[in-house]
Amino acid sequence: MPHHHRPISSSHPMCGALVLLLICAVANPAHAHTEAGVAGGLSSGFLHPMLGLDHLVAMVAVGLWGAQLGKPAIWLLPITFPMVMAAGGVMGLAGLPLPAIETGIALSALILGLMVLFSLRPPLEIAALLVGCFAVFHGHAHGTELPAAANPLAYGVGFVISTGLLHLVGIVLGTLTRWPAGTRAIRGLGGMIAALGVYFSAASLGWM
Amino acid sequence: MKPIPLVCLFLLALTCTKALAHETPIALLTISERQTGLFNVEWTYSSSTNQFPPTVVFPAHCEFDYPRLQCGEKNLYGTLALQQLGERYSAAVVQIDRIDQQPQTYTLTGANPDIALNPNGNLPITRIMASYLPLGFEHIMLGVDHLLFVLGLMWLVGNRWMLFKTITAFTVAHSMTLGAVTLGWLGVPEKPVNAAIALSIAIVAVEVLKFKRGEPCVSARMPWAIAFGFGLLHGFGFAGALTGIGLPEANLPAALLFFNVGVELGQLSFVLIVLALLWSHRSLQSHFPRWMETTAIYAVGSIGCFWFLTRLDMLLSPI
Amino acid sequence: MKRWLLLFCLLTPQWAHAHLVSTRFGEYYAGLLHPVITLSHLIPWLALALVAGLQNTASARTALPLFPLAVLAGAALGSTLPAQQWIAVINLISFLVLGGLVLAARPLPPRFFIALVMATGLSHGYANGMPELFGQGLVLYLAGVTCAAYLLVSILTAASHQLITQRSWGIIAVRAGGSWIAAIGFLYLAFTLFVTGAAGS
Repeated sequence: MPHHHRPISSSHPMCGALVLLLICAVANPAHAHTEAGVAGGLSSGFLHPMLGLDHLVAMVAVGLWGAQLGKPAIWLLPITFPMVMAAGGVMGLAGLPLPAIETGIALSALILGLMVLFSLRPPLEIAALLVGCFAVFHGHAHGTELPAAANPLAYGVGFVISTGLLHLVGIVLGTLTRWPAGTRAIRGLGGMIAALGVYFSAASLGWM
Repeated sequence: MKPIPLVCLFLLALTCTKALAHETPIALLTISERQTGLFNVEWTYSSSTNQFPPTVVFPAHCEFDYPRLQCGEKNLYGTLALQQLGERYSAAVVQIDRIDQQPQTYTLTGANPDIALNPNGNLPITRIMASYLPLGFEHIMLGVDHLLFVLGLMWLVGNRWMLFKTITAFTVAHSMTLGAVTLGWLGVPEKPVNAAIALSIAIVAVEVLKFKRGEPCVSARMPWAIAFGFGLLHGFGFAGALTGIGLPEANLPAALLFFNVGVELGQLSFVLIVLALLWSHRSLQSHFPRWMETTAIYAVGSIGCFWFLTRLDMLLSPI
Repeated sequence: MKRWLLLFCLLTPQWAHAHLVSTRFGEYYAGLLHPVITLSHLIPWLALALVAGLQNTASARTALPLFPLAVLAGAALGSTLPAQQWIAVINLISFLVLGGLVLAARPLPPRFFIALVMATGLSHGYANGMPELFGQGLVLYLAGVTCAAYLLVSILTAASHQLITQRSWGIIAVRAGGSWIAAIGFLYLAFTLFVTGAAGS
């Protein structure tokens, strides 16, 4: 097989090894194979971010905060989040351990909730870093679950769609900030998310 | 109406080979009651590839030793399933002859490979829907002659409102004759109908050609009239297919309804896909050269003529 | 006797001929549905349509005839030649490349775009090949796959092109879509490398 990898090989030895590994990994590519377990993989992937309340509130908080921050954060967020999340997912798949994942996700819910509550506007880099940390933890949790799915690709598609939809919910709710009453309501929502974050943090540390 | 040539080319590729396909691999399972609880089972099937019939799974309390089926006191009630449906045979007809009862016929498909047999013989409505809706959909999707006719109609109409009227006229007309034949009010010999259906495609192609050349033609002003007229004809064709599939006597109206709904859904999907393609090409300003469109119209007409001649030949030649 | 009559009705050749029904859903529809229900083809094809939508109108519409033709050529080759593992690798990488190009949202040089369309079509077409089929069945199957390529890419390209040019938020939505596709590609690649690869070796 190695003589077939010309189209994607590179002079770098590491790259060559990677390609070789990949070719071995895509073992026996039966022509026109039919994917199995697509429906199961899609639904379990779609439901995963919805069922974990800590994931859910943190993701809505990302959307809310993005809407509060306005341009350019509001459109940078849905574009960069998936890539950072994928990086976390790759770490999870590679088996690289990440310390205190549950606490990390809970803390991100707390911090993002607080940001929304106080409508804080740190520089864009700091905001991106905070959201990025959350994205890594979030992705890592999904990455470790992916291999167990009936169809990993369908699982990936499912959770991508549901994550995107949760962001959208946050952003759409965030448009309420155009009105004074809406602004207060959003900040209240941030407070609730922060409170849930406190609860999840305590629970993950075994204090409750 | 620019991407129609491309659609035609695909349909052409489909039809040219499809016209040669004679095989209808349908299997018939007959279960006749000899004495109470004891049945005789027999397969009748025909397949050019010598496929074995599907494996039958009888209710658990029945003992099956081909061709003898012993069900005892509980009789043949419960779930009967056919395995490998959809792989070897797309559909199978199960006919059950019980002592002192009318024979019952059930059509099983790959999507609905099992049937719940209960003493009163009536099928639940959801079950009929699950069987006959996909059959209707499948029939129109594989009925390239019907689709080509619809495509021809779409070529003739100028605007959305006219398209709506035309498609509705076609739908109403073929539903009328489909219902009338299935319920036994009308009887029409199948072969002349099929020849006429083929001819209808050729006629529409000629009308489209006239319309594109700017010649005066009635059909372009009133495409709904031509749709209605030939729609009556196509309904006879659908009816032939439906009776061929096998209809449960007790549930005839429901089966007819769902088969028809399936046909309409299939037709609607086809129309929507063609409209979506038209829109795509328009919005990307992608135009086909004039000769391509003319060729496509001629191709549709030629297919219609070819089918007409072969069907006429079948009509005239004695079997 | 009645049974034979019924069977005769079911099997009379003119019935089959008249309705052109071979009651099986047919190789044509098998070909049509295969890329549509196989996510590893559907997603990169969606990405390709988004890339096409990002080009100018003249460039975008070249994809409409080119992509189905490339898929047809690829599928014809894939149905006659033996399976190649590097094709699967290229298809896996096409997730990342196409997703990345959507994310970048830059118009490409027309020649590069055409080459991209052809390469994607050929390699995904190859993976859609069906060596078990021959003769009429194969022709029908190939027509189905080609039709699927034409339908998907023309409708999705036009939709994304309209979205990008007509709506102010269109470009953001498309870029977010590209980002998600690339993310799925990364995860799928990592899964193939670390999980399937580890299990295989």
